[in-house]
Amino acid sequence: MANYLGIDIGSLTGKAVIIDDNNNIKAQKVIYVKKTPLKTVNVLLDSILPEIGIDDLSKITYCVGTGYGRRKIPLANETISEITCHGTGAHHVMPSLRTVIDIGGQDCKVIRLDENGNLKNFIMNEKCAAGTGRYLELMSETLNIPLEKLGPISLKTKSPVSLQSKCSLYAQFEVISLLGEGIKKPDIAAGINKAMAERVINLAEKVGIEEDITVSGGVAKNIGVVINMEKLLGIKFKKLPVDPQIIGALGAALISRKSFLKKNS
Amino acid sequence: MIYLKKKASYLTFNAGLDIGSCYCKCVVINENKEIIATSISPLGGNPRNASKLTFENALKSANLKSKNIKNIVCVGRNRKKVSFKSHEESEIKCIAKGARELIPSLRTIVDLGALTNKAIKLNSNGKVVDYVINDKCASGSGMFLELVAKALEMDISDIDKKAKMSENPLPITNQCSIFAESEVIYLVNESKNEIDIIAGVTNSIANRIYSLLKRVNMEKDIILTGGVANTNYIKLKLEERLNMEIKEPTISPIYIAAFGASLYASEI
Repeated sequence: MANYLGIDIGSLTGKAVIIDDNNNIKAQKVIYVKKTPLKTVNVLLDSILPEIGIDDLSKITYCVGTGYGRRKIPLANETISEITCHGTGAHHVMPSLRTVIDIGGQDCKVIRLDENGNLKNFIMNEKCAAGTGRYLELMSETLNIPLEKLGPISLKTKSPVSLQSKCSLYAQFEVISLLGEGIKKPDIAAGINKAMAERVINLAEKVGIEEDITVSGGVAKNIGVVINMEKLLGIKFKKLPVDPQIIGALGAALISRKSFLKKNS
Repeated sequence: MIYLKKKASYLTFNAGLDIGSCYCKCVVINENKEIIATSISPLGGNPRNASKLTFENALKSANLKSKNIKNIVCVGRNRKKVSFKSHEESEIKCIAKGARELIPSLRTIVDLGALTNKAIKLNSNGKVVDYVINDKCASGSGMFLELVAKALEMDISDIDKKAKMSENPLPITNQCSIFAESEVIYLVNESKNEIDIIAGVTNSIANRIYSLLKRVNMEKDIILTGGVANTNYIKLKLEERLNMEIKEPTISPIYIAAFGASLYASEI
């Protein structure tokens, strides 16, 4: 029985997916990154391998690494860019997708695909923390609300604040001062999600948007950001049938299988 | 000081209060525009309380009562939050006024604040003719430096000393403060020397200031003001890049805007 492994080492989380010969997901894992990419890989392996009943790396047929830390994965047979892996993963789970907005911990990518899942165009922000997961993380710390609550709490208000700062650091000061003025947390959270959505859609509009469209990455789990993006575009996002955080690792696993078969044919 | 104590009740004093993003600074001057007291306190979450405390501390150190102060001019990002003021002035004008009073030959000022860096150009009469504020991105600001120092578990007052010890400053590739912070943590985990990291970070700030200076067509003489200017290493690196000397103010650069405000107060 073959085990094709895809590992996606992001800046905030590490993801691993194992698929079988029929492209079915056998196991998946998402963890927060450890001190070094190498440690993250080891913890990922220690937790995913038992799930498919193996404890030995030799049972891994082939491995593809992707993400920010992809060069630090010792067992990777090859490394592939995140853009390609996300495109592949997204097309596999939903072939009708033409645009994928992936918002990761420290970057934001908008990927355009054709009907065969080939990459048509993409744009990426990895220069500025605004519009990435890091922004939301900082804002949740400042508000003292857990990251996963930032979405739900923002739905409780009809009067979101309008944040003036784009820069994450300035936004932190702005939020502190809003809290000092006694503005309610849901209003601020809603303003944060709205600002986040605006940044991402600004980026997306630079490469154009075609339906079907979806959002992947950790930020896809923030309902507030998703609703605001849908409002700005006037389009409903397709809901992915798998955890939106594993799309890159799944793509890596699919490429892993393809590469192995190609090399051994 | 003894002289002041005696005559305090019938001399005229004026105060400038600079309520920035992180610190509140107060300068009290006498009739001869001489500084007789300075005071600084962190803003905390409450600019109102911090400004009151800073003002009271300045009075206390000069042995004055608030009735001895003729006018109080407020400046800085949080100046609107002070109720006990006579007047408000813009940061650009106060920085220019304070700096020019200290060094009459000044033509260019770079203010390195907690959140923003500004370059101010003066004509030969000391009038502000141009200025550039970098207020879209915190890169190169005091908060940026503080964030990195925190990641290195380094005291802010040690930054200058440690940066100067480095013989091999590391290049920092990220401009974004938040990403630079992650880069620094990464470098620490790679067992890089904290001295080389902090030197690299301060170097990158000097580079940011250099491009800001180019945007206002700087002319001699130049001075650095604001709290970050206390990091002398930035000045040295900037002097290297500019190949010219940067003037040293006779008071701590963090008080220059408050000093300018106190001068405005004396003119009301």
